Amino acid sequence: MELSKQIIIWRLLLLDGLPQTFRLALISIGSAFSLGILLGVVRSKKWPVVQQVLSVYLGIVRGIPFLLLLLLVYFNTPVKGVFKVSVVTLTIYNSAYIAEIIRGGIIGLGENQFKAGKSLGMNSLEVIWYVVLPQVLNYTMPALLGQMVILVKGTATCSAIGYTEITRSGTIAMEAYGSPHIIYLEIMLVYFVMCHILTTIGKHFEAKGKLKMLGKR
Amino acid sequence: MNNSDNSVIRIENLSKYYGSFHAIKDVSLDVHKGETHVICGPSGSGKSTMLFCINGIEKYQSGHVYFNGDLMTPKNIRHMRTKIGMVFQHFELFPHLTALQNVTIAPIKIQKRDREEAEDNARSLFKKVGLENRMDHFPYQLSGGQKQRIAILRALAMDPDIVLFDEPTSALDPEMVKDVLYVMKDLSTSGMTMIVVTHELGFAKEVASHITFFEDGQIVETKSPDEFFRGNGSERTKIFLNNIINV
Repeated sequence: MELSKQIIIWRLLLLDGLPQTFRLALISIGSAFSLGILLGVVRSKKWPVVQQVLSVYLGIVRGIPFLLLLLLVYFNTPVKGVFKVSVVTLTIYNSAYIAEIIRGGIIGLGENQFKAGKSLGMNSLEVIWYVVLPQVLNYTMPALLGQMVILVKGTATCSAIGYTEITRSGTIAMEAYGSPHIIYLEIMLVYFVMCHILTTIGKHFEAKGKLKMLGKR
Repeated sequence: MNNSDNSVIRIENLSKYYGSFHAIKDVSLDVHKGETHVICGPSGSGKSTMLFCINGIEKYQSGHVYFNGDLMTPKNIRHMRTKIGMVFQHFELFPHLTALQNVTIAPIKIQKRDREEAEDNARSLFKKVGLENRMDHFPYQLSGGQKQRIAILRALAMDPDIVLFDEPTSALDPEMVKDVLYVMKDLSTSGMTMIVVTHELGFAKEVASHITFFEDGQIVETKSPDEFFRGNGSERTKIFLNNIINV
């Protein structure tokens, strides 16, 4: 492929597609983690009805493929616009996994830390905020990070409903210039670099957290 | 209810069930200002459970707890807990916080005290127990004895009216036990009201004002240390004492 074509394609990918991928990923990470942590905390409580409803909900969300959930939100809900649909779907899907990670972390923490917080006069929310979450987020960092990478990769699927992130930019470029074998490789490279950077940053924080609480690297 | 008798904690007919298991059976206990009340008895008898009922961390099905003469209710319990210190068998320091932060978190965040004042207060507490050079350490960097002393400081930093100890030395290496007991004796002599669940009968002999023998979810008897160790108590207490002394 000629160099001029290549430049046009890279401009399409990096200047049109990539910022949209970032935008979608960042907003979805924010909302998926907020909702996921909230659901995880609620799920760790033993509230009878809430518990059962949540368990069924999380089971369903985790039991269907992301693409189908995306189409379901797109066609069957009042949410309009491909960006909103993408954010909502990424949030619902990933928060379900994050909730289970957080719940596991809270159970692993044990009852006594709760008792210690309560004995100092903290209410449930204060115990969660000052005692439980700082520890649980630290302990579950590797799993949470993995979920974050899955979320970023999941943005690619949102091209299926027409959201122009980097994958769809590539498809558009391909329609104009051909050579899918090269363009898809290039897109792959971009995803790989993104996720690799994310993993590296995460490992840094993971090591820092472990060092702080356990004295280990 | 009036409080003319100076009781800091009064337990009236407290019962707790786990399902159909009657864990605490109609227990009543009075602890007055300045007393060090030791509770001993065999493992699994419900001593710790009862201790946790006192500040409502364990729920109970019937009976009442009064703190400084006021009935403890779900509404006022959190405020009361800020004045009832608690020390755990396994320390339960917060591992993500430094020693100093462990001691100041509740005064600052819950009692809404000024940060500087809380830290100054904490510093002088650390100095008292000889740990002023450990304030910036995280719990994993400390020995068990140091952790437990810091856990005691965490309770004291709230300026409590009473401190509850749940087997504070049973998770420690023998050598570290004396450091912790030293701090507790000091506290007792300085007039702090304390309830101590422990197997440390030496400690009980030295500083307890009352010793309660607890078994099978109920109080067998409460004696002064003199009477308790002289064997003036019930047959069951004598057997317990013999078993402990003849190891």
